[in-house]
Amino acid sequence: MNLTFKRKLVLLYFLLVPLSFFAAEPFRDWKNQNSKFKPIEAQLLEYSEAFDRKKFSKYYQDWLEEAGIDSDILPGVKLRVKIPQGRKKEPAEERDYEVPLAVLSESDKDYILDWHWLRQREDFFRKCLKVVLGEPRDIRTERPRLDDGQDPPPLDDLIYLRNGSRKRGTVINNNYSIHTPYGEFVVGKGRLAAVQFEVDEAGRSVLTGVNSNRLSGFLDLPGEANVNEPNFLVFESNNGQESVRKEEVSRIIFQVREDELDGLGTEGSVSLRLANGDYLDAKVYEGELPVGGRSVKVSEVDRVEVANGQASVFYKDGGRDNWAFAEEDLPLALDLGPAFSVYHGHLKKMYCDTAFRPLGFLIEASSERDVSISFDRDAPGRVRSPSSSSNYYGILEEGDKIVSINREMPDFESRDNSFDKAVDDLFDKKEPLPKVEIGIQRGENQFFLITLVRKQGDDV
Amino acid sequence: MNPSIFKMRLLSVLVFALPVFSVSGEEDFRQWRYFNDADMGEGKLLEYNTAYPLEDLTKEIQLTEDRIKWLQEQGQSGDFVRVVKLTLKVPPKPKEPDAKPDPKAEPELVDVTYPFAYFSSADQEYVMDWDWLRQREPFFKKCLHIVLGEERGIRKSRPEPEPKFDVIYLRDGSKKRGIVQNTSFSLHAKYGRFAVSRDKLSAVQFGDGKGGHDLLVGVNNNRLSGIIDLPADSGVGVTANHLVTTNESGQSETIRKEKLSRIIFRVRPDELTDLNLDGSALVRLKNGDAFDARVSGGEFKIGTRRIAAAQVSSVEVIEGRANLIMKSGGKEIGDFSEADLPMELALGPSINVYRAYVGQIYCDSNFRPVGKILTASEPRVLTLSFERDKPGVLRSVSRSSVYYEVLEKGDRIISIDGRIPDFDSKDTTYELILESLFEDKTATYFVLDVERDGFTFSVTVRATNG
Repeated sequence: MNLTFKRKLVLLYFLLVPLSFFAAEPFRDWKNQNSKFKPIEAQLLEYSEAFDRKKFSKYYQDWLEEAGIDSDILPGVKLRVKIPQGRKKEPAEERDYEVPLAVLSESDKDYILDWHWLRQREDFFRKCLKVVLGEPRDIRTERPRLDDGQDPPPLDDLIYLRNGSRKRGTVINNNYSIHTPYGEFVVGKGRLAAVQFEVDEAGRSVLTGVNSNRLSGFLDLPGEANVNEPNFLVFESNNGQESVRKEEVSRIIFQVREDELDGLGTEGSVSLRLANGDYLDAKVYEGELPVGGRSVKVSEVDRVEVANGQASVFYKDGGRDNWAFAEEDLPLALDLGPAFSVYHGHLKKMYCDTAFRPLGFLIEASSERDVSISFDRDAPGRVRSPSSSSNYYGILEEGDKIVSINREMPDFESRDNSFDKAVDDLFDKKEPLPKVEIGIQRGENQFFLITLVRKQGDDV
Repeated sequence: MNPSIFKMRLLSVLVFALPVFSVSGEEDFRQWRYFNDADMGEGKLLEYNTAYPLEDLTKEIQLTEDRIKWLQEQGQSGDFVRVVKLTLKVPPKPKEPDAKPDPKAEPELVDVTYPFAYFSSADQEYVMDWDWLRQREPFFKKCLHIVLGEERGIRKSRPEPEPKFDVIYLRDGSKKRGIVQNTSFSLHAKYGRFAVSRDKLSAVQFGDGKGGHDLLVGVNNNRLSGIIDLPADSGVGVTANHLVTTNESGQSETIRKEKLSRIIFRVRPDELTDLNLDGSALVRLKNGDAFDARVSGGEFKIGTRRIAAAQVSSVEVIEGRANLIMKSGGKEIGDFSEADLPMELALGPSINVYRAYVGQIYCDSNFRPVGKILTASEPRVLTLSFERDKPGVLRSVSRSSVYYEVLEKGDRIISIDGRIPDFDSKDTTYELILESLFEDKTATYFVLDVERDGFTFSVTVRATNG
């Protein structure tokens, strides 16, 4: 059942992508609300929820008045209508008309709203994180209805409890405070895709940002006035408001929110990989790196590798410098919100190229063979023990399960399974994928990512 | 012989030899002399006080300004002086003012308090030795000598106060000696956030840098893990996340927290005296942490019942339910009625521990296990074989051993019951401890500290009745 749902989701996604809405819509028959009128053949050009009433023709203005619709701003469409000429063989004349939405039949309204929804959402669907920690996030896969002007029903966050049960609802807690080895800060719910509570014996939790950033450490749920007591998770479900102790929660997968990616990954943002395995997108203070007694513009740098307090700076123009950090702490502002200073000893790598944002373990491969994985025949996506010569040795373990590939649910049942296909695409000679991101589940509660890239200089 | 082994042995010998000098009995009367060699008379030492209020002393003996000045010249400045309290045998005063004292008369016993400086050098040495042994004997008996595989700095002889040093290990492999100035260490554990006073710590282990594996080790061998922060402490010039030490010449040095690997604190004479141990139980958490703590109110709240901790031998939390083994032999099972168990740590702070985190609570003060608990009914299953050339380093562990899958080849036993073990003698410390467990039955359990790949862990072995 669950698989069917997941497949539907994958299918939907793949179906959606080819439907490009920037291409012109085809002409089709449109019906008036009054079924006595003949249908017209027209092409949808534009839809707006806020059309100026005065833009409509006198005919439609009268119609609106008769229908008792008196607002000055109302939804409407712009249609290119074919007006038949006297003789059937003569080409029809095309004229553009502004038509109030209310005039159209229910099925035409649905058509318009679908068109509008998909056109608005296509870009969002493409960018946003659909699978996190092996679970699809709740993306609205149907258009929002505007029943009597009411808000569409809320989406659901998924709350997994340690006793194995799962709840659906909307999490109310706004703030998630995490104490990491490199600092302590609060991330807002709106920037989170998931939270994993106490993934190891030490009690460390992991925050996953909507930009796939990983922050691990000790997690607290601070008390918020009129929301929650400290260390209680509060959510609104069909049963009303529920409150659960933090220690009883295993995972939260947040619903996808329309504005969650706004302002992320903008100019000057760098990807930091830290010694504890975390990775963060952040802006360096004033866009400059203080190294070796001078400041280097981040925009000129390809990447920085840090070891023993020494920074190896690789420039975009191919140059390289080895310097010590001028200051112990590097001031940063995370794309996810908080600003803090990170001690240079915590830094491992910094990728300044916005096109390259590796997640989790990074494996560079020269060929498809370098990254092949052998799977358990009877358990789709289940990894067999990697050999000591494998690139995955020390990273993957027998029994690990691949739960996402490039942030989609993988398909391991087809002959060309998703993993093989992704690796093929990575080394495709015409249009190679820049990277392949694999999400791995180990045991019940552990998730991590691997990014596969072609080895530098091995471009196909 | 390897000098460090010699040092270890010397320490072991000293530790075992010291308790022979019992000083808890009364001192004998002996002859005392003044600093100028004048005879003070026969007296019995009662007390030595390193900080006696000068104001009180002036009420007890005549201290002219000249004498106070003289005391200052002897290094006794300020409002407190070092004093010795004696019972002196004083010839009785003749009844008539002009009469001569009767040498045959029974002397009177008079308690006097004199400045330490009044005494001859030999008497000062005598007082210092007496004080050293009296103060140190119970201390040596109780105190933890080895922590995280390192010997803590213990003053092994009776010199005048001299600085003993904390040892600070850095991640680059170097080692520094100095006195740590930070007065407290803050821990964010999965069960709460709190600070522990430096004076209650024997060691700090900064984990792998990934967070969550930092460790505070208390002077009572309590282990608390989480993320350690070094709070700012303006009183001693400490800024947040920096360790400040002073070296032998009084110079201070500041070190970033991230550069630290480990701190082994010196043994401080009073470190065990202020522990809040009365009525405490040993609480072991599921994450491996363990601490002495008093259960708030001295009772367990199970369902609607309240059970006095004093009646309980131990509590084990199995599948979320509390299983109480009563001292009377009975058993009670139920749920903790509170989500959080309020506890007062012997190390100072009060915390609330979420009930699901608790593993066991040992209310019996005679059993304080550390690390994994193993049980054995006979010494055969505890047999360990060591590398010939590497004392204390294990060869493979057999399947029939209780240590199987707990200890591994290459593990090194670095302490037994908090002492540096001797693996060079014919009867090694390990064999002696097995003897005391199964033959002499003078012990009921022992604790091994084991080092593996630079990290240490503990194992408690308990004898069962077969």
